[in-house]
Amino acid sequence: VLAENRIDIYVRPRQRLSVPRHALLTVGKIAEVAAVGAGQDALLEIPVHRLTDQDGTMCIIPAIDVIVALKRRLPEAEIHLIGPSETIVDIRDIRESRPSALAVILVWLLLFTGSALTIMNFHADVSMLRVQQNIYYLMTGAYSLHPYVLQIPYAFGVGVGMALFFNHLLRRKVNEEEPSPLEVEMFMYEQSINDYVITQENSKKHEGRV
Amino acid sequence: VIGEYAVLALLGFAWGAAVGSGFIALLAALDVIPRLVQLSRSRDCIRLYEWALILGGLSATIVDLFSVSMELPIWTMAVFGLLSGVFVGMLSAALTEVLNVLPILARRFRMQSVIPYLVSAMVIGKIIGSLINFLFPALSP
Repeated sequence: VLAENRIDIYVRPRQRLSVPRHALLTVGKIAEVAAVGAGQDALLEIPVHRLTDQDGTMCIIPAIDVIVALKRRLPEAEIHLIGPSETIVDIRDIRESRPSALAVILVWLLLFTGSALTIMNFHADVSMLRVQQNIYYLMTGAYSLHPYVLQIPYAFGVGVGMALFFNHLLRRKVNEEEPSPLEVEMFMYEQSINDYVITQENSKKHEGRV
Repeated sequence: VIGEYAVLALLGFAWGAAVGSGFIALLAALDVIPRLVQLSRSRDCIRLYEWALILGGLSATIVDLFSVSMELPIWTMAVFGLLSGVFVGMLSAALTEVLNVLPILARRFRMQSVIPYLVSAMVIGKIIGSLINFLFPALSP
């Protein structure tokens, strides 16, 4: 008898989402919801928070807000939270959605110059020419002031090695499902930013109350 | 005299052991070997790769210190150059990654979508930098 009118709602907040400005955040946008014993679609439309200009470029929706919104609609429902206890909401500005070509070119040139400079510094640091002359002698028995036959393949090899490391050459063919180290690094970086933002936002709220 | 030689031999051995383990520690810290294993899907062959590192270091030390030439044909230089270049390229890519420059830059400038172009900038930069080094030594730092 008891089991019949029992409602169980499982809520799994998303870790991060990106929405346009002034968007209405509903339960369905913030979290994945599974309802047992009640209609699910109506639950997804329950509003939780309306973004305003005061939210700036980012806001945090605590999972508690989602639970409160659900409880208000269905006071007798039992709500189970599975997953993160906050959702980070990135507020998109329409003009920011694609990087400008000029900015990309500038960053490209910055990385290009820096990369060229650092390898030249490295070669100077380790006396690369002397080492190469020595290797040339050790292997062929002849001395060459400019061992080009060694140096030019080496130069292209440096590029191939970097591309290999970043999974650029083999991405399509061999290692489709493996992430490149850069993607992993990118993920770790974003993950730590998420953690930082949530912690920071929580302590700000706490200070406000005291 | 024999005592002196014994001390010198011990010193040399300790020195070499320190340099050798430091060399391997550096490689291990930079994740180049795991990356190569991942790319070639040869996790089972790690033992072989360890021996490749040991033998490479040992043979280079021997020919270098005793200055014996192997009298190989010139084309072997091109092969050696390419392979050593790939290795140095992977090392420097690993360093860049450790320094985290790209993820931070991409996020700051909201350029996650063009990261492949940014990587190409660094790759081409390294090639051009090396070529300037070797073809125009007068321009090198």
